[in-house]
Amino acid sequence: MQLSNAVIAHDAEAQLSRIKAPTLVTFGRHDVATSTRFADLMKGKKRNSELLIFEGCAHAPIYKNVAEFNEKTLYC
Amino acid sequence: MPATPFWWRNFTCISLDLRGTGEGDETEGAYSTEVLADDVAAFMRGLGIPKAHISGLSLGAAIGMWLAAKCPEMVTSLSLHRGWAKTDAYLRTVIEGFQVMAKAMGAFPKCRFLHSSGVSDTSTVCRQAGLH
Repeated sequence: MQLSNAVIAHDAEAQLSRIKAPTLVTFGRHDVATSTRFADLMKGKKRNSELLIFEGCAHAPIYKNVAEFNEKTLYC
Repeated sequence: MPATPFWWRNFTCISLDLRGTGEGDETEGAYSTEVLADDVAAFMRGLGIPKAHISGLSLGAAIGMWLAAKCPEMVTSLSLHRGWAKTDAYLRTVIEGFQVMAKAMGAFPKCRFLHSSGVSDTSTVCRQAGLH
């Protein structure tokens, strides 16, 4: 219950500009809870950030399409 | 995370049980994503990991944002999967719906409810193999 309250209270909007690390942001096209409505803000205007959207997936492309997820998110 | 075995080919990967989940201890008081990020930073310091690739899914992504903002020197790269910057009315309603159902079940089963729908909240710390 405490973790769910942490989700409800989450507000890191003011923190985004403090992030300096190269950032990959991904969403599932059919995610309802954390949908692509958050994408623009999450990616921001940083040159070192990238946005990926997985088609045909909801909240968990990492489970639904493991091979595609690995292929597109790993830079090894 | 199912991706973790794949990542192990090139990285040393550690997935954390957040406080109140898995084998993580429950503590009194309110949790926040900032406090949970502090937990991750303390965990890394405790293991002598000065810097790592940080990958977070859902709540893990929310935590990763705080970690990267507060401790930029500890984050080599940041992967935010299904994250969000600030909870909006819709997401609040979804989570409050989970809470109502959890209360009706008698207890909040440590994210099992979330896991059962195929969703997991995970923070993963990856350190490139052979590097410090």
